[in-house]
Amino acid sequence: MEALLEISDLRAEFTTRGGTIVPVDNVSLAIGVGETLALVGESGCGKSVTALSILRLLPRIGRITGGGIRLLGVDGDLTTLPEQQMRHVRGGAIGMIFQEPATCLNPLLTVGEQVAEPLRIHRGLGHRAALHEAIATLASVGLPGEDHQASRYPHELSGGMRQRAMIAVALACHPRLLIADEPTTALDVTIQAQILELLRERRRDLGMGMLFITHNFALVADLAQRMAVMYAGRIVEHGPVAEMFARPRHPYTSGLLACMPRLGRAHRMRENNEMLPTIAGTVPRLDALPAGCGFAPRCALATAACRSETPPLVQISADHVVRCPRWDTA
Amino acid sequence: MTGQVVSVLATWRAHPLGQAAGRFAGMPLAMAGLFVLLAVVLMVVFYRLVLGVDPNAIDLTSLNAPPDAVHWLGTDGVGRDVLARVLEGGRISLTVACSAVGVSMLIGFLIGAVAALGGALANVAAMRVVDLAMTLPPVVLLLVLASVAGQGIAPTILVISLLSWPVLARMVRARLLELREREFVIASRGMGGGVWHLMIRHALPNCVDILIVYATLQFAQAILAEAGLSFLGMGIPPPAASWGNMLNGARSSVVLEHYPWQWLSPGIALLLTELAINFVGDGLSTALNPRSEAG
Repeated sequence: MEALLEISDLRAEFTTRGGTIVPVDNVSLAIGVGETLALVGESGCGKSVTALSILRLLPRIGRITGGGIRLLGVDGDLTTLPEQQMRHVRGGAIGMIFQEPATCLNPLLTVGEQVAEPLRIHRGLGHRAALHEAIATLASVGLPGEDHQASRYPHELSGGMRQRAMIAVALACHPRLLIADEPTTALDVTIQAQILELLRERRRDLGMGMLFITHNFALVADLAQRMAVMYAGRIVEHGPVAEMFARPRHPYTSGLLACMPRLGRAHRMRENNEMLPTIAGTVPRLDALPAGCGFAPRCALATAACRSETPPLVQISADHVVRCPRWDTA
Repeated sequence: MTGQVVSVLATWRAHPLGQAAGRFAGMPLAMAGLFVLLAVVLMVVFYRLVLGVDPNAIDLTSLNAPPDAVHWLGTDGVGRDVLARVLEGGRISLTVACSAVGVSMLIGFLIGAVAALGGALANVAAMRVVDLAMTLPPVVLLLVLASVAGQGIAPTILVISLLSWPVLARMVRARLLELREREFVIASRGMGGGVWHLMIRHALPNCVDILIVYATLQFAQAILAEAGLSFLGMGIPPPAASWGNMLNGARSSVVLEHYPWQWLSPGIALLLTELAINFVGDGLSTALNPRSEAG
């Protein structure tokens, strides 16, 4: 498959008062044309920072210090592209949906104006033409024009409608890649299902690739072909979704999967008075990472070697890698 | 057509500014101020059509005449009609104040926005300039600038506007520093918006409340500054009328004692306008602040 996005050995650093932390450490990922890659992990694992690095939108304390990002159709590396060209990539070739629909829309502009903005920036449309196009885009995500949705302000819309508007902003210029950073976390399940259906439909119609960031495994199974699991800034396992669900190789992946409630199991657990398993401990703070494998303190399989040096990624099949020396016992 | 009007009205009512206008309409003092201000502006702009007296015409038959049927507010020491001069003075004072506020708003907003949205270097540079401008003693600076720039309307505007922008620049910067980290601004950058785009589409609408309140309060300041400069002989030179130089011309003890209409008239005009503007400004700052009690 032709690679749409190729991230190789990406490293991002944040300079804080306590010193330098590395929220993204040596991350390599690839997304094919029309493919969906899910990026999962607990909060604070570096998923969002990875996504923001692709668009070079890191907060001021952060910068990319290594690696490269290539996008199909763009000459040069996204990490070093001049700002002027980078602006054409943002919103043009890559669309991004943010987590909080409530705060990602400017409260002082109508929804129509906000969807029109990328059209004006990237396609050079005039005010009227852009607004016209924006109304069509809004209609295509389920905010129809006949009841004047385009002339409403964000505070007049419900959470689900705002997320649709946000998706319309991201999709307005038909991007080749869509980055969706937990797009449904703030929504209730029925709206969530509608939004996912919408994304799937647009993916099919536009043939766009998708980087889907989530910590909800149900969505991963539903939407993605491959998934990458991040822990403490590093990729710990990366492979086809079906394979990883059936046989997770990294203890962190299997831990996460075990935490997921399942219908059949719930009944049995209630009868046996069992608790839903959790992974003991919490994600380490990035300014106090343990030596060696970041997961070792929480890992039942950890050996002395795990605690002293970072295990390398092991290729266990054609497109399945895992960062654990004991992957065959997990 | 009707449907269009209705939908435009609905949009306006939903807009935060439309809601603020609604709150403003509910404040009697502010509304009274607005009416007085409107009346002053109308009189000052259109008085020539009604009054038919030239503010610089000299009537040698009535020097220092008290108010009567011909000269409603009397005449001054060289026989000029005081009412016409008060209105003409208001015209110049308001023009100067308006332009000075406009210029200082432009400078203040641009410098504040560049400081907040530009790089770290722009921030430091801009804020040091602001610090410098703020540490200079205003009255002394005003006098020095005025003596360098000379007299007349344009230099007066320049002097007043150069003095007043730093406060606004700081307020704008503070607001935009907060705005810069808001998600919708990051989202806007994520769809390709540049610095200029951020300034016009996000920074400006989100600073409108600061700008409006600043403009009204600064407007009052500018009228006073103009009056002060002209009173000191550094602003609008005679024979052109301004409230300041009218007060200046009437400051001898003879005039103070025997011809009170010559200084009461511009004084009261100044006072009324100032009060009206301040009430409007107070009302606006309450109406535009969604966290305030009156909201």
